[in-house]
Amino acid sequence: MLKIKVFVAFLLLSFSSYAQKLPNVTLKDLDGKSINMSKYNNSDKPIIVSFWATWCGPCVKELTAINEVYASWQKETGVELVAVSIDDARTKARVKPQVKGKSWKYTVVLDENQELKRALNVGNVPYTMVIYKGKVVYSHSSYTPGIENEIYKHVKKAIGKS
Amino acid sequence: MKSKYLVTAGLIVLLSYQGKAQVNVGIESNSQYYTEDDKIKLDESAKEDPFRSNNYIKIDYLKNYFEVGLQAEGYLPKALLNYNPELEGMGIGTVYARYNNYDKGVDITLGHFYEQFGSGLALRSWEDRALGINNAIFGGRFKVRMHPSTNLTLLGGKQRVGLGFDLSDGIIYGANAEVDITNILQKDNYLLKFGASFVGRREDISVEYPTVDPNTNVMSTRLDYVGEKFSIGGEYVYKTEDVLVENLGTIFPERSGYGNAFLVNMGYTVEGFAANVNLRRMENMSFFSNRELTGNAFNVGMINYVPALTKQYDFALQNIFVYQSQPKYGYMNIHKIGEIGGQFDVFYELKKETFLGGKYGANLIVNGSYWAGLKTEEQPDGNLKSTGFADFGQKYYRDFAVEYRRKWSEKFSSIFMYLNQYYNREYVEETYGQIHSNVAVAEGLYFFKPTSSVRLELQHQWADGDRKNWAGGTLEYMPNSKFSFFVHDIYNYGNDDPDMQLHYYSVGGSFTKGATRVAASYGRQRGGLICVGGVCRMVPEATGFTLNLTTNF
Repeated sequence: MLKIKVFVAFLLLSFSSYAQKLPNVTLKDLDGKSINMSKYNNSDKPIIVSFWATWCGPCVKELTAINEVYASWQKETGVELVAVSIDDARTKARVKPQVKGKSWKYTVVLDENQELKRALNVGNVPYTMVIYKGKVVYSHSSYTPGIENEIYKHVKKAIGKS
Repeated sequence: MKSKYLVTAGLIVLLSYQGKAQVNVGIESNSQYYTEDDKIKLDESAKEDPFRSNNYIKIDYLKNYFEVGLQAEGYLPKALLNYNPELEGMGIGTVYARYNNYDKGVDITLGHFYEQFGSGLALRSWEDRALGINNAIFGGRFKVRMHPSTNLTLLGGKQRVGLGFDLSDGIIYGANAEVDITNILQKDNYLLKFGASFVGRREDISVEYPTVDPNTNVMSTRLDYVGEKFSIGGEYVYKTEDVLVENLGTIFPERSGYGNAFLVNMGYTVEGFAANVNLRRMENMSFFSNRELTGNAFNVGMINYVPALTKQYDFALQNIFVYQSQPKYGYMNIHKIGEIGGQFDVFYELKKETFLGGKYGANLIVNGSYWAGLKTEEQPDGNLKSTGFADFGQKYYRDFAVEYRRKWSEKFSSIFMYLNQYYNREYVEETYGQIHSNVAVAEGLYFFKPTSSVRLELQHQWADGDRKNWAGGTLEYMPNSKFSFFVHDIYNYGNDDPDMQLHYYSVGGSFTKGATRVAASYGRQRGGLICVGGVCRMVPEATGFTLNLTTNF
């Protein structure tokens, strides 16, 4: 019954400390350059991290909806959106065309073997997080149309601009 | 077994030392209660345990450069239907300890780990819970940045083939190097990268089959160029000789062959327009940690990743005929030795204030693919060989699709899609039949308020084979950003047998708050292939309740 004991120990400990931030995971952007995600913990701007895939209809809808208001969000709050694609070898080639074909202005990184997704315990895509000064201040699983308004509320709240 | 207790005891020691640390927890639970109705019957084993659930809890503990973590899995009392039946009861799925110092460029993992070399043609271990895949390697991995432009990975271990400590007989070992040539040349207006991998599998079966070499090796080299607008990349993979394995893991030592794969990706992108082409030829590229697992239905023990390079479509009726890649050497049922073909996509943004773009702009996406077998001939020694590099054999699959997405007003947007397919089931699934199909889809999304909307999706498929025509629809209502309710039905009205003209209906809803999501539904599921990320799993036809829960903190 060691298993169960370990389990309980783990659970107790996990409740005792809560402070999720971006882990030390290095991913490639669309130009093949490496980006270590933990660098965003040091940014003084709010960061939105959005997990998506080209084959995920709701994800594409969410990022398309945000793209329409992204310029004004950036102007008002300086927010940066990092779109983390979990497309693997099967669909990876479609990521850049999708992004450029839709004129998305985001920083896009490729989490091809789901290293970042796993490290953050993200279940399914779409999954969106708002991070400010190294702390996750909001996260949301799945997409419902219009949720971008709610995401933006949390961005503004994080920087004390609500 | 001993190692299992050592690792867990080690974890407790590490955990008891807790300063300014971070703990991440993720929980996922998928349950199904299977019932019967007048049309859909369960088999005996399903009747015995009509309630089944797959549960995962993953806990990671991070402090400075150190990480430890484990994933416990519970298949209670058994795994969902058509998952690997080896998954039963509770146990440890994965457990690891890691030292990861990015500044020094050193990353060492002991225990279970996931890894991918290049595009995965040589090695990929990963987890996909929807498909019941977890082929983590249990052993050690060492990654080091030798130079700002050169990264090296070394690894070795045995692969998980059931729960976390049910390991493969075969041992896997590998090395991977990535070199950023642009960095060496100090250029920054383009990117040029070189990569090379080696993966070996040692499985000694010489007691039963004295002539079979225990070692099988895969070598891969690749080169990628990314310019401002144009990019091109290629990979060549070679697999050393191995014996033919077919018919649920039967070894045929008198037949053997080597394998290889060529992959070329090209892309051209400017703002508002993008196109890409992928070409691939592969021959005898199945690679499993135990030879006897070759081609198994549960995707257990796969070392490399050879996905179908076709588009993964969004709508239900577009996913009735799904191509599956054909890496294998087959002799006993159908002569085949691989596949050759390609796919293309074009994305185009239609400008605002044009006829097709309208007031808000629109998107046009066109894609297609063509895949065929390799032409084969039998050699004097009884082995199959391809006749030439570009000799196309039997046609396996073809598709062509056009998608038009448009926003009409602040409140209304829509998607129209047309898909034409040819699917050679006889060769792809080794059963019978060839099918031509056409699918049309229309979807509309209407907003009542900024976070309140309704979505209606209508689909139709015309097919000249299999179960013939289908019609379908989904209505989804989202009263606010927390709740969603749907009704969905696909109706096989075109079935030649009037008794088999079934509705596969479902109703359900979901609740989302922060990182937590709960979804419940009741209905019938269409049996067949469910494919995610290019790998497919058969699901049985069933009626029942489904409950899914995911959360993390």
